[in-house]
Amino acid sequence: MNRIARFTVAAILLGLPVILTAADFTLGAAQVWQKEYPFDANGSLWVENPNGAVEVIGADQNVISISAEKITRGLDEASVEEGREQTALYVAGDSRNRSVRTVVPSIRSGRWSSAVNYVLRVPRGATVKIDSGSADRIRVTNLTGGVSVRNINGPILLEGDSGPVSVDSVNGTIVYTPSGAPSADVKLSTINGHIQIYVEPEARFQWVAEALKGDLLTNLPMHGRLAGSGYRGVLNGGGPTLTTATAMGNVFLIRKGARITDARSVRALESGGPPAAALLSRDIYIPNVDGNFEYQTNIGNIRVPEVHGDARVETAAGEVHLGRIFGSATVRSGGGPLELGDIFGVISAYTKAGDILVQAARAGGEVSTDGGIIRVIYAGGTSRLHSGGGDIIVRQASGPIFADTRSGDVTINVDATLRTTAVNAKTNQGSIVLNVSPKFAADVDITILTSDPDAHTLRTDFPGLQVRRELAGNRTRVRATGKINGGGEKVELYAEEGVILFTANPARPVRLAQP
Amino acid sequence: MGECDSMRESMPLLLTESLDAASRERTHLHIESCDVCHDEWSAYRDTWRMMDELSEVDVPARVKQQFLARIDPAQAAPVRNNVVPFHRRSAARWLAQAAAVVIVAGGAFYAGHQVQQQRPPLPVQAFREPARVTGVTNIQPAKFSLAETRVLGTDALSPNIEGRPNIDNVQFVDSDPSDGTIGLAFDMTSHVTVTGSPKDKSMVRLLSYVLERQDNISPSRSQAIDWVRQMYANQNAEPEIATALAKVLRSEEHEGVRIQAVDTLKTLPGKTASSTRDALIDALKSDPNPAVRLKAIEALIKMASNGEQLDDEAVNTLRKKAGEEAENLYVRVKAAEALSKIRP
Repeated sequence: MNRIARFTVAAILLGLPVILTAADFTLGAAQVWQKEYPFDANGSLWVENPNGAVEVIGADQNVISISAEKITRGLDEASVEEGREQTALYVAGDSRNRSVRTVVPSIRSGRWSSAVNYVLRVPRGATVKIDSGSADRIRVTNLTGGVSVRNINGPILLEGDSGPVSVDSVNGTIVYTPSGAPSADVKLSTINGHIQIYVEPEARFQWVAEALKGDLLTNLPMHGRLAGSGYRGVLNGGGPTLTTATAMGNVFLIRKGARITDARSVRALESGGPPAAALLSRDIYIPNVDGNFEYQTNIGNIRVPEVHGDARVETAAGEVHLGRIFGSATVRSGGGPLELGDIFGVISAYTKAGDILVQAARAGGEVSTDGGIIRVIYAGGTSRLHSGGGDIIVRQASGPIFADTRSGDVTINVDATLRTTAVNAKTNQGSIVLNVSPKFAADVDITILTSDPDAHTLRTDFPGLQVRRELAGNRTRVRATGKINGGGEKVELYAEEGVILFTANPARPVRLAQP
Repeated sequence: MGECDSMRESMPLLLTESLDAASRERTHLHIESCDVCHDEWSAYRDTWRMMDELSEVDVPARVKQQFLARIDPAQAAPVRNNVVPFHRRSAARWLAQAAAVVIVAGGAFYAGHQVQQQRPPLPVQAFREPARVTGVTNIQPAKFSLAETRVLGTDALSPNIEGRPNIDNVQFVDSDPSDGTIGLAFDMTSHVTVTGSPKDKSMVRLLSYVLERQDNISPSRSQAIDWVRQMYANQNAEPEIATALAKVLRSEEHEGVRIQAVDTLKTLPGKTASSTRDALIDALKSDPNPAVRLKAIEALIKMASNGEQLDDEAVNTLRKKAGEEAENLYVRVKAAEALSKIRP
């Protein structure tokens, strides 16, 4: 092989092979560049390529051979030329540390795109680090040194490598087939891709795996235990650690030579039967349920428009949409918004994060979020609403309301036909608006605690309340008490650093559908 | 007042972009710091814009004659300094606009000299004088501008006090007892209702200013932001509104308000400004309220779905969130969903 540097323009094929990956780019050019550099047997190579394939092959040699194909696509010849000029290849370093980089301007014309496909041959013992954006694929083979890959899009194939491996991908699927048994720690992580590992049956290692939404499957006789979405097990007594993690995909640990379809869920292995429905991740839509409905999932969205009975739904993370529920509704979510329609029975709804919308809580109930806005269009029975941070809005309260938020406004419109009802609203940071009928009767106890008493005031349409101001530390407490329209149920309003409006301006009534 | 005179002479040149960079900067700085010149400049600019919109009519010879007859050459001389070249315009429009500017500026100058030598010619007065000219009879008075402080001459103040505006902090000022004038300074609270299209620049600016302010929105900022969300959700994005909401998201202590701000940012159509994107990323990184983080991710998902590029910081933050064991599971799932929208 000729070791003298050479720069060869193999082809500038403007207008000849029209390469169409982007619909708008009708012209393309390809440029091939090849070069060799001295490289130590255990030298380090860093490859940075924002767009394009990277293939690194370990070989018995003491040089690094670089072959780069630069492909530029554009709307016209000028755009192609501009892209070609602005896509630069840099090789730097010495025989110990070598870097190969593709550089494109971060802000550039949208009239062209470029990709560089690399084939790099390096000594087997080299340590390779690849930083890639999007690639048709990244393939690293026959290396005994360490491999580190980080990318966003595109599959990553590791074949015949025996050194330590670390892969961190966003959307790529990772396929790892080590040479012989794993002899060093391996860490494979992807967010939206799958992970496939093919090993010899006599290999010894421990497997630490997590799949947030997906499953963990193997056809090897693993011994281990599940913990939530994670698994920890050993094969043949253990050895180096093989760590695999995916958020949305599955992890497959497969015996070499076997089919991926032979793999079974470790959850099934642990339980001795098929995986429990409660542990599967899925989105579910059931149009109509006669009788009671009960469903659990670890991650998944649930949508059920109608249940002619009680509904009980639990998800570790996901949205829940329930329509008409003729019985009670019990909903638990580890995170995700809840949307409940017309609920005839008592509601018990809780999410760790997200908004909650209830169209009609005819019999009232409890609605709670650790962070998010609570909106209840109609609350019939006694309703307890709690937000760890977010507004609470009740369009029409036709029963007692107890609402509190750590930070947010509370707005409650009491049914104009109600002569009296209990209302307890509290916000530790925000304002309260309570609208009632002019004839509304109550025993009123209103408190504002504020560091700005000029801005945070009580405004009420009901005269006769006794108002007192007093200092409370470095803040002012404004308290108004008294009976309105002769007194009735207790109305307690408490706001810190906000105003309280207690008005006789009820909203128009909500119309409920007939059962 | 010497500087004001000089600046006013520069205004026509500024208007036609004929000033060099240094003078332009100097003039702008002065306009920003001087209320009277600011009003003058606003009037110039509005007049110019209105003239551009007016149909092109020749100045009647009779009017021109009457005008020239009323000023002698000595008085007219400074007016000529205000005449500037108008480049790259059709001859007819050039003539009409040049004539109108001469009339306005000359009228103002004439009125200023005839009526009160010491007082700067207010733009409204300047317009009144040439109101007999057919082409400019429908010029509107200078725009009402919201200002922190304002100095008015009594001639700019109507003798009628409408309603009973609150007047506080009254001070009597007579800095020069010999000049025959006195001053009365006070804070006035009056209720102002501004009506107009939600797309109107003034309305957008006013809303942005109000959103960024942390006090005295009735009943609360949270509800004001919700109102803005409903108003602007189906319209083309107003960058200033989005920028104001991004500031709220960054700086507001009140979690409920931050939730409303990010919720509104999520629904605003159009391209996301870099300041908004940065605010979303910061919220995702460190906001203690999970709903804020969740909605920030949803806004980023919308960005990515619309084909907008997520920069490295956004990708890295989402990447970290998707893998962060301490993070809420649903936030992690949504972060993964956002990342799945990234296209090569």
